[in-house]
Amino acid sequence: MNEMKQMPYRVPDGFIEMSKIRNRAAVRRAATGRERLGKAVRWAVPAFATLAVAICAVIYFEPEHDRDMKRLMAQMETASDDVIYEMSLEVVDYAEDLSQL
Amino acid sequence: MFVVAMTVIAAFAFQSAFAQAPAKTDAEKAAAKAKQEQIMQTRLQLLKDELKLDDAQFANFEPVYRDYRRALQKVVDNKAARVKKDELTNENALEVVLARLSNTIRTSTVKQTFLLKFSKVIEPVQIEKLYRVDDRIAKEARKIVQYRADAK
Repeated sequence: MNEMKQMPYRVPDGFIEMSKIRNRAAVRRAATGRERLGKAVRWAVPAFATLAVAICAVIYFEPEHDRDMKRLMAQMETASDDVIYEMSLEVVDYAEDLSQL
Repeated sequence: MFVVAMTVIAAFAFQSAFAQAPAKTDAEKAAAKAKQEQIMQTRLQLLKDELKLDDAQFANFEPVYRDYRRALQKVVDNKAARVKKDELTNENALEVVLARLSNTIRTSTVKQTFLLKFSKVIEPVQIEKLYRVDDRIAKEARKIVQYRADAK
């Protein structure tokens, strides 16, 4: 105690108390920040996981007719010239959108 | 003797000048037929999904569609219309254009004829979709033809 009273500089009055108050406020702010970060992480992780599952589901459950069309295109690409040419002659061009008529 | 030899040589030359393209072997014909059936099966599956047909409707639809495809194959002229752009001349251009126009007219006629037959097995809206899907397949075939021609 005598050593403290003999410090080379003068500690302002109330300095220790004010420091304690400020420290407690800083600890509270840090805790709030950690809480906010924790909440954000708790929300974001399931959200991204759901999004990833949804994307995988869309890719896996591709519409049947799209898969059939891809399979048909693959078969046509290996068909002979005669077969393909015959198929190409069936095109009848008409307006797909009736509002164009 | 000289005359006989010359006649024989001339006969061979004549035959080779007018020789037909080598006929397809039975194996090649069988392979082509198998390929066409494979494509037909995929087309049918595609149409079943696109038109949302149940098994009973599909059982009625399939034979009509197969008749439709056979009718189309009979009317499309593969040879006369199949002339490349750089092979067109003043002598054959009109014939080629006429063949292509005839293909379009005959194809449209077959499609018109089958409207009534299809209407007995599927709904009118489904017939419109059927023709649209078939048209899309034909356009893809056209792209493949063009791609192969450009690749040569």
